[in-house]
Amino acid sequence: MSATKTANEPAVTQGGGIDPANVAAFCVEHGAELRRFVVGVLRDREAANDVLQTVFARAIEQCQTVDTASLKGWLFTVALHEALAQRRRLEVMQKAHLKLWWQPARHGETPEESLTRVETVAEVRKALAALPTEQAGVVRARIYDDKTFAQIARETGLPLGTVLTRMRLALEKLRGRLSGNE
Amino acid sequence: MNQRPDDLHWQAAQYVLGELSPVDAADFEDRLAVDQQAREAVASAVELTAAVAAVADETRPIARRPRRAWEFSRSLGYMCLGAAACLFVMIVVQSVWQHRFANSDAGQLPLAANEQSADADLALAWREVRAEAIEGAEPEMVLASNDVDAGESRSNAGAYLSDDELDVPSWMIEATGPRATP
Repeated sequence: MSATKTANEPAVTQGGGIDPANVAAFCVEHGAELRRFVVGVLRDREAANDVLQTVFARAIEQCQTVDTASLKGWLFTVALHEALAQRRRLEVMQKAHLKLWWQPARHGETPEESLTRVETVAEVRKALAALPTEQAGVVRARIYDDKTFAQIARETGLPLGTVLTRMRLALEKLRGRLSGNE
Repeated sequence: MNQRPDDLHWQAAQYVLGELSPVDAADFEDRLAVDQQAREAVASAVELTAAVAAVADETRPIARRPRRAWEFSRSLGYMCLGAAACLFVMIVVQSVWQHRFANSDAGQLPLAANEQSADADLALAWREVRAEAIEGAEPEMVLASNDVDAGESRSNAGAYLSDDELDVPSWMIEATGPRATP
C-alpha cells in the first residue's frame, strides 16, 4: 500500500486506514490531551498510565481499520471505554480513589507525565493573583484544601449556590486568561 | 444539545472534581461516549485544575501527602507481617534452645529445687549411688596427673566405669572392693 501524507495528518494508506508507522507520531501529538482526559475520568494518574498503554497498543493494532478524519475521536472513544473498564476493576478491588489526583507527583514527574504545561502554570499564577478575594478563596479551599463545595458552604456560612457560582466565575476567568494567550 | 460552551466547561470541571451527583455523572459519561467537545472540555478542566494545584504547591511548605486508605492498609499489613516474623524467630530460637538444653547430659543438669515428684526423688537417690560407685572405683582408673582437681578426677574416673558397674549397689561394691580384701 502506498502512503500519502498531508501537512499535519498521519500518512494514509490507499485502503483508507492509517499507516501504522505514523500512528506513534499521532499518539504523541494527542497524547498529552488524551492523558488529561483519562485522568479526568479515572481521577487516578497511575491507573491512567495503564489505560494509555492499552489505548496506544490498540491504536497500532487497529489503525488500518480507522478513518483518518476520525482517528482522534476513535482514540478518545477507546480511551473512555478502557478508563471506565479500569474504574470498574478498581472498584472491584476496593481501591480507594484519590480525590487529590491533581496534586503534583512527589517523585518528580517527567514532562510526559505532567498534566499541565509550564506556561499554563505561569499564566494561572498570574490569573489567580488577579481574582477577586472571595473567588480566590473558594478556589483555594476546593483545590488546595480538597474541601467539597458543601463543606465550603458550611464553613463559610454561604449558600451552596453562591459557592458554586464563585467557583464557576473563577474558572471562567482562569480559562479565559489561558485562552487569550494560546 | 444547545449548551453554552461555558456551561460545558463548568460541567466538565464539576465532573473531574467529583462534584456531580452519580446520576449527573453517568449522564455526562454517556455524553462523553459520543461528544468530542465534551471530552476536550474534560481534558481542559484537568489541565486547569492541575495548574492551580501546581501554583499552590510552589507556595506552601512541603506537607506530607495525605495517605490513601489502601496505602495505610498496606503499611499496616507490612507491620503485622514484621511482627509475625519476629514472633516466629523467637519461637524457633526458644525451641532450639530448649532442644539443646533437653538433650544435654542429664548428669550435668542440676536438679530443680522445686521438683517434688517421685521420679525426682529416685533420680536424687541414683546420683548418690553413682557418687559412691565412683569413689569406690580402682585407683588405676583415676587420672595420673597430679594437677587434676579431685572432683574432676572423680568424675573422670567415673567416666571409665561402665554402666553395668555403676548399676551395682554400693554395699556390693564395698564388699568386693580393695578394702574388703583380707
